Amino acid sequence: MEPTRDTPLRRFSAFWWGLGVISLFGVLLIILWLKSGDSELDPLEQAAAIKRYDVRATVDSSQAANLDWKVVEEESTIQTPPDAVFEMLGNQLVGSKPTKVDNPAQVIPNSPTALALADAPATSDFSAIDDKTPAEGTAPDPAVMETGKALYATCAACHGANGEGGPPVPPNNEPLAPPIAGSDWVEGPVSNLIRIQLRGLQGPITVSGKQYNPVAPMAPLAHQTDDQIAAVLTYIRNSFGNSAPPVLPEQVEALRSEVGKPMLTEADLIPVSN
Amino acid sequence: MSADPERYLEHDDELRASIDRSLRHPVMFFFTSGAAWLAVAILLGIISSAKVHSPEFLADFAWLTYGRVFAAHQTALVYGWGCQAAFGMIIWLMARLSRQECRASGMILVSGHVWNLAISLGLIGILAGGGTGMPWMEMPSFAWVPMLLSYVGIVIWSMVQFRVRPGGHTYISQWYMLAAMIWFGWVFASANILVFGFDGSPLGAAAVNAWFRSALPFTFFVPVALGMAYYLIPKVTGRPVYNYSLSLLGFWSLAAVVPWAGLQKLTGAPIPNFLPYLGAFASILFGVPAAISGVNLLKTSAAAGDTVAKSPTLRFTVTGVIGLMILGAAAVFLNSPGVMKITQFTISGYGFDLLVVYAFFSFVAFGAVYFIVPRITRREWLSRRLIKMHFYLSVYAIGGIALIAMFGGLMQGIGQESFAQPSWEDATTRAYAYAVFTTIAWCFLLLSNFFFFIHLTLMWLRLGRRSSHPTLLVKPHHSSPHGPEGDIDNVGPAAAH
Repeated sequence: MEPTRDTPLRRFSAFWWGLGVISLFGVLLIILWLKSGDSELDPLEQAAAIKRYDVRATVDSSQAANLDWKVVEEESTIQTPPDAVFEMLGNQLVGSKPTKVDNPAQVIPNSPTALALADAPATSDFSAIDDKTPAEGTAPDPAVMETGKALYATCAACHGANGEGGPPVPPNNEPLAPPIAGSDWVEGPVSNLIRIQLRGLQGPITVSGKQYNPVAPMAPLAHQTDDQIAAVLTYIRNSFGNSAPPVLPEQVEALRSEVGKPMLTEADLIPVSN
Repeated sequence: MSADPERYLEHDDELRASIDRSLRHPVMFFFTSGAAWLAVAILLGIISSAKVHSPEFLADFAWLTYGRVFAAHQTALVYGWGCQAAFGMIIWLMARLSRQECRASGMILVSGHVWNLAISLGLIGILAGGGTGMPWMEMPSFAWVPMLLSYVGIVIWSMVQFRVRPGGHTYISQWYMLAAMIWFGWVFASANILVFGFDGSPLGAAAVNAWFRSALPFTFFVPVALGMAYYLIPKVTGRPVYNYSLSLLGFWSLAAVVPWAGLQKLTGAPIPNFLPYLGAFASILFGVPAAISGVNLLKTSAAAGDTVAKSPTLRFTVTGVIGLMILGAAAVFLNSPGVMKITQFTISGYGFDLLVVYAFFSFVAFGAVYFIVPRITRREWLSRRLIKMHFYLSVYAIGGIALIAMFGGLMQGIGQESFAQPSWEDATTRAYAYAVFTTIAWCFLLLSNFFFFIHLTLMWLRLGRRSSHPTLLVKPHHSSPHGPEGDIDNVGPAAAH
């Protein structure tokens, strides 16, 4: 047999070898840890940490305040259920949600937002869209008219089956909605009609010289497709004695950015000659 | 090896018997207390899993809230069962392959008790609300120092044995076991010192934790189980390893790849951008060593299909190796960019953890237990039916849990991604059925390990069969339901005791 490797000396050295190998990284890290005294703290990291701890302390204390025992009546306290803190956290989250910047001075110059704002057409100038309206006398597509007629069923509820306006509503006997038949608005600029349908309309309005005070505002109908809105508007412009060029779906599409804005009033519309 | 092999082999049986005898108490301690912790882990797993789909379940006890129970469940599974089963395998296999009796079984036992005490207190700390909130490092910070010290007290003797082994060939199992012993010390100490020692930013701690969650399974559980499988499969089939170069290639590719993995768990966090990419890439590359070792081991066992069917050890071990192949495929699938963005915040990460810890590691560990315990107690397993119940229930349950958790994670992720509707509710609805199934599967696992635990306890009490015929999973040709009552082995050193 070859000489044995099992000697006490070898076992002793093997023990320390094993200890050294296993603890190698631990020892290195402990040395690093001991050497990293307070003097080597990064002032930037410290400054950032102060803010972090402030936030933590605020959150902790406000949560604790919400979870405190409260006196509900004499000699009786009750703990706020733990889920009460969820509502507070939810409110904090909603409060911290970024909001749209309204003030142009707050937009970073030359940022993508600023460039997009510069490229965007002025919101009050819809002439580019009205200019796309086909020339006077263009006949509407019969298929589009049929679609529009079907869709008009929704409108007929307030504007009347023949566009004569809604029934009078007591006590002032104001109509539910102004008439469409013979309305100067309907034959006027297309952008008005599209925007009314996308945003809704409220308040008094003068139609063909007569002022109306509808009892209910017109609700926005923006859920319809561009084709549907174009079809129903083409239909009312060419029915009930009205006659005007058709409305194009791309005109509706160009105004989709209006969706979600507050309801229009008469002052927001391009005036028509009365 | 030896100039006189005949003389060497003459005393081989005696040497092996004396090694087994010297390790009887420490190894049995680790296996039985590991099995007890496994039972704890499974009970906590049932509770936490039930809370996912039935939030009212046990909702009135603060110490049983989901956050605590789930953390305690993972801790018990990883440190109670996984690590202790690994310790038992390491100290036994290193002693056998180094042909050295254990001279420090007392020290190992003491260290094992310290380990158990530390994780018991740590688990109580978690349930009392003192958890750290970092997965796999949940125990309060007092626990890791005694754990590390007792770990050194357990494995250092195996390293000494390795250094004084008789000269000659170093088996691939020794490569894996030695590497796992060293890597555990590196990974566990580094991660805990970095998280609990240095007062860095919380983000740094989260990054270290993400790395640790991947490093501990990949550099400890995987190599320990691979080392054990590389011992058990050739040993029980009686055939050499299919391709020895492949096994070395598997070792070094594992060593080169897995330390980089882990930070893909923090994709989207404000850490340097290359780290998640690196982590995902390394995790995908884990498929390479998994496939190499898996093919090599399966090829070795394929030559003896009959033995695989009959031997409890082989059946568990080979199933574990199949688990390794699935694990490699899952690593590739879950970390590919398209899938990871869906599954990052879902239950599929838990499914992957269970694939490592249970479907691969624990199955090999069960195989090792069925192999080692009869040798160190000098008794055979009592009942093949108990073993069969343990096997089938475990396979069904873990296959269900791991795969369903991953596919459920996919469904949950798709629900989270669809922002057009109330998506969190949708995500919960999509994952609901999978959560219910997970609870059922954990119940199966409880039943399965009940049989295992009973069986192991009887063996620990030395109530096993006194027979030289191993308990095989075949219908015997005699009337006894427990297997052949073969010759009672009254020779060898153990007979004197």
